[in-house]
Amino acid sequence: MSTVRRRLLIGGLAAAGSASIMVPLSDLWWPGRPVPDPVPWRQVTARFDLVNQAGRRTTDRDFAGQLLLVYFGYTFCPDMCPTALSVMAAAMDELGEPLAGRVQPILITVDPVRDTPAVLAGYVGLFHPRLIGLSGTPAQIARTAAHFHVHYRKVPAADSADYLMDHTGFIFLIGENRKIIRVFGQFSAPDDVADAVRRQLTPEPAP
Amino acid sequence: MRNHLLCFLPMLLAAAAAHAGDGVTASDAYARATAPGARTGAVYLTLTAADRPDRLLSVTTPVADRAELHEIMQMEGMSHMHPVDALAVAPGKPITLAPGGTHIMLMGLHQGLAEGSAFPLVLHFEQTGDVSLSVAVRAAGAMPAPAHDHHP
Repeated sequence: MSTVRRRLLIGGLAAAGSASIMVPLSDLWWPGRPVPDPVPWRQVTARFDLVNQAGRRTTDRDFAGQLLLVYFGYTFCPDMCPTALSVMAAAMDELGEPLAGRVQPILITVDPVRDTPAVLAGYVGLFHPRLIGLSGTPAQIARTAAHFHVHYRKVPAADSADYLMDHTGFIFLIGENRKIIRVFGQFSAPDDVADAVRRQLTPEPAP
Repeated sequence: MRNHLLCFLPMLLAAAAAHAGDGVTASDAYARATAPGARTGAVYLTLTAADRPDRLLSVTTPVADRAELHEIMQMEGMSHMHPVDALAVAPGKPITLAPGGTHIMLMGLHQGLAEGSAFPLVLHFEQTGDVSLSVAVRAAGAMPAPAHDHHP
């Protein structure tokens, strides 16, 4: 398959997947393996107890009354993470105030060894002034990622210490009750993310 | 056999002369700004082959130890970066390297890429040879302008 067609296929599948709450990953993610059940993100109640880029302990309870936009990534990531964070930032800008004030965008690192709070501090500001970065011990990050059904693994570089990370690249929209409302692929349009937030925050018009 | 090759040689030389200055051109080359201490970056651009197919074999730049073509593949529930050996470009079918897809990855960046700056990059093509260009550094979250599909 040509590179362009493969990109379109992945993009199309990701876009199709991002349009539903339960992303049908089984076809995408497990070539050659027995098809598992779709990942039960409906059953996830977002929880985390980590450290923000200022070195302050930060938990899900610190954002009571707000929606969360959460992405698991890492600062060494040259392409996918800037893309996803850019989608989140553009969605925040598209929302504008006061709605944007009711949403907290969060980057949780899958590479806590390199992404210390200080490193995150120099990174998140590149994308959006409201974006916060969370790090922790490798054990804390592992627990948090497992809780979100986010997978990641180190990919050693052939001839340098600069490893990359494979990781699940979805953007999670989390409700005030901390349930996952929507899962967005990195090819999602910022408008779609903003629309989902608006629908969540704007009461239904009276019939 | 040798005589046959010699017969073709003037034709090849004439063809090469006729195509001098043609081959693949690169346009709209940009990189995203990185954190100051970043060691990796990504370059995006569009490649257009004038009138004969070609292949991008390698990339070099003074701002990084290595530059490689990478694509993103989905493996076991994770996005995975996979090196690409060579990128084929056909006439009439420009290829755009864009965020989320195949891109030129810079590894061992000597320093972070600052928005508003520019750096040199050389693309090494099988037929066209070396194509030098200047890469503009845009915002960290820069995205390409949406494509306009003119098909009716």
